Amino acid sequence: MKSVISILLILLLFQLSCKKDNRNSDVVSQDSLNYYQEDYNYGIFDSSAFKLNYPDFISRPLSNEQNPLTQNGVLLGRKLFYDPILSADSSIKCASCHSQNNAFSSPSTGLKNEYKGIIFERNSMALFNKAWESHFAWDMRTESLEDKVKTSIENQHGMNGNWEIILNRLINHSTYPRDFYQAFGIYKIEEQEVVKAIAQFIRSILSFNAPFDQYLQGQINLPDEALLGYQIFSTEKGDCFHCHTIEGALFNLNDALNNGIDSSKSTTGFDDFGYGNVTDNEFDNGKFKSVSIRNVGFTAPYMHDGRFQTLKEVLEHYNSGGHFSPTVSPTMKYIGEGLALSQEEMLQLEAFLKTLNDSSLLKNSSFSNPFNDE
Amino acid sequence: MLKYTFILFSIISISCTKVKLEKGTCTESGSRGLVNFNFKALTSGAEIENTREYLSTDTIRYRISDLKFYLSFMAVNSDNDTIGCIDHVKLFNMKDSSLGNFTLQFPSDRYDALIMGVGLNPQINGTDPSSLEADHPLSANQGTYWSWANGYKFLQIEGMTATHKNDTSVLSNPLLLHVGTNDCYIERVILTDFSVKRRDVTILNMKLNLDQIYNAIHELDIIEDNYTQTANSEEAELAFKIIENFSYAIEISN
Repeated sequence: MKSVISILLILLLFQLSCKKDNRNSDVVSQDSLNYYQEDYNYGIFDSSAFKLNYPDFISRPLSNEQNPLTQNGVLLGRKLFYDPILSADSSIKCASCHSQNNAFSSPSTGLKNEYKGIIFERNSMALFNKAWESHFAWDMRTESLEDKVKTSIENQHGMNGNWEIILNRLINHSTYPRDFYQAFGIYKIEEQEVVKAIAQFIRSILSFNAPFDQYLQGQINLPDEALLGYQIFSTEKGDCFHCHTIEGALFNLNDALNNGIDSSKSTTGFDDFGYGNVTDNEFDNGKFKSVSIRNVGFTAPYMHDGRFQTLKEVLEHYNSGGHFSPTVSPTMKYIGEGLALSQEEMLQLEAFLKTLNDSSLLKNSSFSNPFNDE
Repeated sequence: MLKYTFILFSIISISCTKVKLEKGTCTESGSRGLVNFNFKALTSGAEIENTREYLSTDTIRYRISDLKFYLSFMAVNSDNDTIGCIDHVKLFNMKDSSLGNFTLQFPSDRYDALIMGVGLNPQINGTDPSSLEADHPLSANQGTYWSWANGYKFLQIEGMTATHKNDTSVLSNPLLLHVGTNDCYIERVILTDFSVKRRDVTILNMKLNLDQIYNAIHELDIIEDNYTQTANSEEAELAFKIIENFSYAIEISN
């Protein structure tokens, strides 16, 4: 009898000791508790995971233990992305420069890098499939999407956000204290959670429903013209695939390269040093991040400075061979000589590039403005 | 009662310990030790940097802007058994500072040799990169997978060279050596005695003399033999010579 009781006791203690302590998820710091408002309905903190759905031929995204995607985090991030509350004069929102109509790149205004009369130094990058990227900004200055979000909010030539003012606005807002509690279990809204939520929303924006994706999955056929263009793209004939790798079907490279858009006799002859400013290495001057060419039909203007207004101009640049400089990528085999593609081949290449346009991204209600104020 | 208390706490302690498989584990059980490879990538006797120009053995100026390669390691013990596993595949990348020291685990034993795989053996080269997380050394995100070859680039060297011996102008001759495909996988047996002891660290010195990629076995011309993607028979021939020279450019000693 004694042994039976002992065994039962052992099993009971074993069970208790291994049980997950659920209270941990509700632990709120004293500092955060100071912001608790008695008569406010915070609802329930729920950290249910947000699942990214992508086709089988795509690798798994980068692990992201610091800021795992949650359903409430993504929803909050979406609201913040579309809310001008983060900018100094409450007039600019993230979506101002990253418009859904343009695959979350800069809206085509006819002027390069211009928004409300402000000319930005660099073109606004398209935001999709960022969960697979390890470096952000044209000059690859940050390895954290959260840091990139933070600096964009603080950019004096853009949103010019001041965190003291932003947090004060959010804390006194009618719904944000509830949203932050439900997403992060906090009463005190802090800078860290603001950027985390926006980064979560950005990581949730996926674009894998272009005709080329449907072709890869055997759902449709592509016209011969586009298939011939794909052959040009993926061989030395077009020389495109080195920087916009077809492997992994993301059509980018997590790397900075000089694609021959500027001529320079020395390593220091570039107007914008780009990646070189980050590494402080003159041999990285003139290099910029190789971005995805998915949705290329929606993301004009092109290049880091938006110098090309049309896709045709971009293709002409490469077909002409581009310009030599000491840091030009050795993968640009025909630099200075040109690809010598015929007009027909140029059209085939363009036809292929158009198969990378995922128009469903522009209409996806999960990524649209939740305020319906546009 | 004391006996029961002791058993009770032992059971709780054991049952709550999460079994964690460590990277580099070759066997899931048994005694293991660490082998630390003191690795240096050299050119002209100095550690390679992408900020500097170097002189080849033919006194041609050159600069390396990108260097990436896969190596794998197995060890042969005194019973002539070969010990190795997929976790012992490493991607070295000049751009992310992974051209330095690294550590692998091996079962405790005495070893007579290392088998160094330059590139990826056909089994590993057949890995589907989409099954892996983006930060895995074999994921498509590393920019090393060639879908046209259904395999990986084993060795990637990019840079610029001078156009001739007396060329003092800005380097303008592109250097692009991308080597892959199963035919270019090379295994080298490196005889070196070492012991691996439980909870002990054995140090091996590993040196890559990049100067030798143009002359270790095959005499090549850094200006003329400057381009291969292993894409046709002519390029494949150069690719094999490059990777064979590369394999002999690596020395390992204890």
